[in-house]
Amino acid sequence: MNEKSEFLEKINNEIENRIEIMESSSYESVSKFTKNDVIISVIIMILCAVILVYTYNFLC
Amino acid sequence: MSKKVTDQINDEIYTGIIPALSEDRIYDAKAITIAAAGFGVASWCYVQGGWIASSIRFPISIIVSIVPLILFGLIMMFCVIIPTRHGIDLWIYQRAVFGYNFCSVLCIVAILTNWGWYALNCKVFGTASSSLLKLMGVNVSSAALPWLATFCAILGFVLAMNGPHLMKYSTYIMVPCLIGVGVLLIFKTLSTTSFSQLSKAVPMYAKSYANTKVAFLCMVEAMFGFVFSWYPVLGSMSRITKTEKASYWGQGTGYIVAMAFFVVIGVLSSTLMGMLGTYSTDPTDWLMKLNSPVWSALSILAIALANITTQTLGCYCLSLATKIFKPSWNYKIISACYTVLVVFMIFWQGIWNYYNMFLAVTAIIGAPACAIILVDYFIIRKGKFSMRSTFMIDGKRSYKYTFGFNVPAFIAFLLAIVSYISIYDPIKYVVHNAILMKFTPTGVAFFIAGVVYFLFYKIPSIKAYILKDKDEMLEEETKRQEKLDKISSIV
Repeated sequence: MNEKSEFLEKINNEIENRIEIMESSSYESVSKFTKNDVIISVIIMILCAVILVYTYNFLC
Repeated sequence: MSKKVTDQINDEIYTGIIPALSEDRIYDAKAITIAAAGFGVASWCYVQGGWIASSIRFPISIIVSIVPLILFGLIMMFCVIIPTRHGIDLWIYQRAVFGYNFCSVLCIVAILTNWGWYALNCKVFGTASSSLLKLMGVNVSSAALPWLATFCAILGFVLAMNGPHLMKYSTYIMVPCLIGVGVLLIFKTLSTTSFSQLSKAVPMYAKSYANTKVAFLCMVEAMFGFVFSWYPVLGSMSRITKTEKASYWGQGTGYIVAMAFFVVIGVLSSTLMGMLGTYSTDPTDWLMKLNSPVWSALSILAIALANITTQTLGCYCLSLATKIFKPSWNYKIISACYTVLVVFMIFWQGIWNYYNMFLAVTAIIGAPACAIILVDYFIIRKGKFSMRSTFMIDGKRSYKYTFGFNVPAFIAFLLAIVSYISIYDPIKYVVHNAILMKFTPTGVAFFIAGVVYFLFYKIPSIKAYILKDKDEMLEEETKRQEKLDKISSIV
């Protein structure tokens, strides 16, 4: 087996190993995005939309 | 396994497509904010600011420079949660969304268009360096400008060669310096004029638009398009970020705040230039004209450094995205090929003329793609998909769909593009549909793509078609359960 195909095979094995690790119950995943974050984000978006509508209707 | 191969595999975590585990993550909130700001300090922000200032009057130009960026930037940032959660590039996930072949087509178009921006970036580096040399008493001929620009492309490539670790520390130094110079530049610019004087300035190209409202909508649209220039690079740094919160808010702050800040500098400088009766899209022209030699030198140096940082980040992110085509491709060779492409674009003189074209293509592709990704991940799949099928390992090919195209996603995508083009011609700035233009073509394209894809999903047979990976995931779950049962029986 030449080095390139050995490398490709090893990459696939490594990916497979890592997927198994991620799927195992003991794997500690990165901390999640919370509901509060979503709410803050949506509030900022609504404010931005209001500013744009106001600018279009009253300042332009 | 030979040591060389082991080392290569380790490198592949940071310069390849191997999923990054929690312990592999190197970017915390601070690091990812600064790294994302590396994109935000690029010269195209000045160009964008100059364009806005030449179309709409101050201070509306300031509102347009900031608010649309926050609005669509925050929506788009939801995409970065996916690579952070699963440790994979967003392009890998897009195989599940669009199918293997459609994802590849999108990747090629998005990446190639994106390199146009980087060529523009290098061009500005060339003129900035030439101006800097001129201030030092060295005159550079115009024939040498492309060679100076090439130097930026090569330097960016060399820095990108060392992967994200070096990039992290180089942005730690460059980005705060640039933001500091930017703050001083704003104070300096504002000290030469007053708010009321700026408000009186008449935009150079205001008459190109039917009225102020149309000019406003066209510029908001341009800013939305600007946001979607991030689409091809969203996953590369997100996959090695430590938490989803850091990834979302960090990149949100880095991209949005830094970009808005430098677009505002562009607006201010260009408005001042307009008051003096000249217009230029090249920021170095403004800086030379508006400041004393020392200030000019300092700010031009900042532009040059910013361009190298952006070039480095772009080289890393886009080369990594390209590895979805073949994981065994060498990261360094891909980066080198792209650098050659950028050099070719630099020597092609028409690059400035196609700025709005790059913007239009990124918006036309980016907006529907992001809408479909968000609907697919958060609403349809609810965060669950087959990683094995996205990587096509173990013979798993759930996302083959129809000839490698997820047909409902493809139709939603096409409808969004048609709606965009039927509302607005982004090349000639002609509005075809005044009513829908109020929602901006990018906004409408984003909405249509998301809604159409969701409606398709509501049809039971199409639902089964989209969720082809369900059986595979069930099978994997059963296998895992059997394994656990075996272990517990032995214990």
